[in-house]
Amino acid sequence: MVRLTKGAGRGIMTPADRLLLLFMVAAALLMFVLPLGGRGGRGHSVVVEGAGGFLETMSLMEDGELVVPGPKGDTIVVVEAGRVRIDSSPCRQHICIRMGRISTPGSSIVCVPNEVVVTVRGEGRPAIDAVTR
Amino acid sequence: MNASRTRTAWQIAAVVLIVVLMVIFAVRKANEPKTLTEHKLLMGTIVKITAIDPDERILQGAIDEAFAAIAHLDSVATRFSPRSAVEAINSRSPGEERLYIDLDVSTIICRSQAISLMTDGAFDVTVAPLIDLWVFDEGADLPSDTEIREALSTVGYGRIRLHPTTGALTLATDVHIDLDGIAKGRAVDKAYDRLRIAGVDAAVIDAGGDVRMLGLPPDGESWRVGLKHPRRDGLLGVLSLGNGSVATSGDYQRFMIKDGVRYHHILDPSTGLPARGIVSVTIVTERCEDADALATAVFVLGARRGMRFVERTDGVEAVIVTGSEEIEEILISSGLDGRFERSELD
Repeated sequence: MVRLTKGAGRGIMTPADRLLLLFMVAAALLMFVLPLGGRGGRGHSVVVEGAGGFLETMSLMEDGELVVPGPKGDTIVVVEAGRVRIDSSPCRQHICIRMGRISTPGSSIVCVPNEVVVTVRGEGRPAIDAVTR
Repeated sequence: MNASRTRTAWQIAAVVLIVVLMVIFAVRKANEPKTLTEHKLLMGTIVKITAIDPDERILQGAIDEAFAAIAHLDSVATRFSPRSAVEAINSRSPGEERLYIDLDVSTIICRSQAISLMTDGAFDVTVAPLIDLWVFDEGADLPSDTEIREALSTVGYGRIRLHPTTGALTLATDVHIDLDGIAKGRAVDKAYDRLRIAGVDAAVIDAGGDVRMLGLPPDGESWRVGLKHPRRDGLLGVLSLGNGSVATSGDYQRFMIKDGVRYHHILDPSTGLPARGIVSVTIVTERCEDADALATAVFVLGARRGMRFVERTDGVEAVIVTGSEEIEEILISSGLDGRFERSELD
């Protein structure tokens, strides 16, 4: 039988033991807390796909412009102030331009006639799961 | 001596604790929901499917099956493929008034007829000749009154009949159909069925804004579906929803401005002209084909009649935005009370 007296207790737990115990408790807490990620992720990059296997990535952190060749001509994709939009397109109805600017992970703009798909990538769950339009 | 034994016991306990924590972590990790998102160009739009399940192995197969179901609908329900069932109906020979058609197309027509009856013809798949008159390119000419009158004479959901048991479709000689107002929703429903049968825990299918949700998101709360702002970038608001479907019809999807007047693609089957008074209608209901068709129907019915229809129809809810170039009012049906929040998110 081990009787823990005041004196004996001081001998059992060395400073290293206490540090280890603290580390384990912290690790255990982290394991349970970390997977509970919330919503509201922010996009960090844009994947632009075009006809014939065209594939480019743009950063949302810096402004830029990309010319995407397609069956009807060039579509121009523009990143501005952390958002992406289609600036000009040779398609007839310009639905892609009217889709406006996007920035949340998973959201996308598509130009069906010129076969261009712009998708925002990012960390975390998006603030919204889908957009009805 | 005792202190040394106790220390050894403590060290063993510490190692056991670490092992136990590692096992718990591994089990939690294995049971954590995995998410797979894929998109494809189908039905004239981008279709995005997000499937969520702890078993990663079923996700790819389920998504492939779901896309295959949509691709089938895409091939049979369009007017613009020479081999589609709809094209076969529209290009039938004179005297060939009775046809046996693809089961999916026949199911869509059957549901279309039911919705036409429910909405006094505000939704009508026989509007194809009217649709063909309207071109929404910049500077395009408007159809003449005579052209509209002639096209209107061929329109009427009562001019097609589907035999309830044989599936035979009987059409008046001059009738042409267009299923674009419902087929996309039906395709989403077919994809939903495939994902559900595959055993996927949760999923979102989004076909260019026709959305259906399966189960609940991993946080166990509700899905958040944004409504595009009809007059500018970003969202008008966000709906918090469970299992169900959402679809929107708006005057901003295909339109042209001529002499200061907006002409859009949502045509009133009784006048042949773009329906007026509403900017957008979002319908929430169980099946996406219903949401798709009812969004058009309520738009055509107008704000007052449309909302009255929604309030008296079980399981159907709506957000109706009225106005013309500026938004005047946002009407929300009673079943969405507390589920819609105005938002500036995009």
